[in-house]
Amino acid sequence: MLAISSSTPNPASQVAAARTGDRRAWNALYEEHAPAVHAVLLTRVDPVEADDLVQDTFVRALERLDQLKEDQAFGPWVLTIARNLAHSHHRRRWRWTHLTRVLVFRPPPTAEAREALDAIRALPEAYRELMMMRLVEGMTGPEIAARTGRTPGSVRVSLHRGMKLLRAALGGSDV
Amino acid sequence: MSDYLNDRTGTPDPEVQRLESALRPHRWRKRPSPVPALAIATIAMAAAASVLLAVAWGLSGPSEPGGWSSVTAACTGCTWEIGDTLDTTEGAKARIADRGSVVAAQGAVLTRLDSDTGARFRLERGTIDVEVDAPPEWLVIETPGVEVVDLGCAYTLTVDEQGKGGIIVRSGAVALVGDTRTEVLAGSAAATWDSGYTGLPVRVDAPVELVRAVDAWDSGASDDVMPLCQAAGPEDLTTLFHLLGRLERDELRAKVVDSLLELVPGEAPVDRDALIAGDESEMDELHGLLIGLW
Repeated sequence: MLAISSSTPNPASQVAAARTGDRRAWNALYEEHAPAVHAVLLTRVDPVEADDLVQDTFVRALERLDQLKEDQAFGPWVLTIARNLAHSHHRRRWRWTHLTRVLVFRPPPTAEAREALDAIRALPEAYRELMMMRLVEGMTGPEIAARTGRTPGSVRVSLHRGMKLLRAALGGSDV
Repeated sequence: MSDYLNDRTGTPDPEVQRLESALRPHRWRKRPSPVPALAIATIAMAAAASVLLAVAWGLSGPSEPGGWSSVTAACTGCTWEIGDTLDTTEGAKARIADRGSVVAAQGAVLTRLDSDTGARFRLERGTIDVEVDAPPEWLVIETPGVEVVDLGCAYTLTVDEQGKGGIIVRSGAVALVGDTRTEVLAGSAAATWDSGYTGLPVRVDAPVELVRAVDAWDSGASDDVMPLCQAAGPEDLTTLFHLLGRLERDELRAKVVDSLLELVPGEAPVDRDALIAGDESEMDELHGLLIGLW
């Protein structure tokens, strides 16, 4: 039987505290959920754009925190904000004010990384984000489940299937 | 087999490691959280940054000797060796390495086989109850005609004297692999035949009309898809998905695709026409979507 122990406070109580202006609670939410948000954005935008969009996502989340109906669902909710932002980002003008700063801090992907990122982006939608969370952000299956609201069993099976498809796409054996 | 992909335990998978190494530079890098300029306690940030979920593997109940020990009428604590058939004159219970356990009902014929990648049994007949916490495909159970591939779960498997069987999955998921393939998710059941046919999965608490329609379809008594489409509800998507995978005629596929898409919450990001045409990548998309809803 899988037992998950966590020293992370209950997300609902963190959200409630953040609403009252508790910066420490807000920072904790940000640091806990930013990797998953980043992974979701990487499935849709280039690495150089993903960093800025992570910030934008949390700005929007903070602005709309009062609209969150179930505090426990903060994880899936903030991921939805990220997806919507990525979608509208493609229709916005290029943000020159951020470009230089991001380029300074992010080297371009190696050929191997580029191939892997492209292959992950080409996976069926249900696997793309999970595989980014696992392979780029280094999140475990249980951590992914905790951030996305999915069951650990579903994440485990999806990672397994996603990796099978990824191996085939990258030309490896379908283990 | 390690579970490195799921939780980084066990022997690392070299290909997963290679990808992790190539992609690590693209990991999210901590930046100040986007809040209006206020004093932020650096100690609090450092503490929050170091918090990780810790995953502890274990089985419930008091610790028992590890390995492949068994409890039977003949012996308590004997090792269950490769090639041995459990003595089930009064039922039996055995440990499956340190990954789980199997309980065999009286009269079950269950033999441990050799395996390169985990554990493998043969259930010739009878009923067993399995509870395993292991990476997908670590445990495989052969039955007449069909292999039961554990995807990390607990289930009850039965094979009768004629080689016909059934499985009820209590948690996790199982793949039945024969001439057809069926993924049975928690809360569902499916039948198997020694011909290699694997039945459609159906929820154990599905409406009786759906259960009857699945029975009729699986047994060959009916080739009409409409009773299945009409009886299925939003929780029966995997039943319809497996049905879709067994149809060749476009007009039948169209009926099932339309029923499926009506039941999927929200707007499904799949192409109806491509699904009707049997496009593999579209079927993969739909499959992934349904697992995500599980």
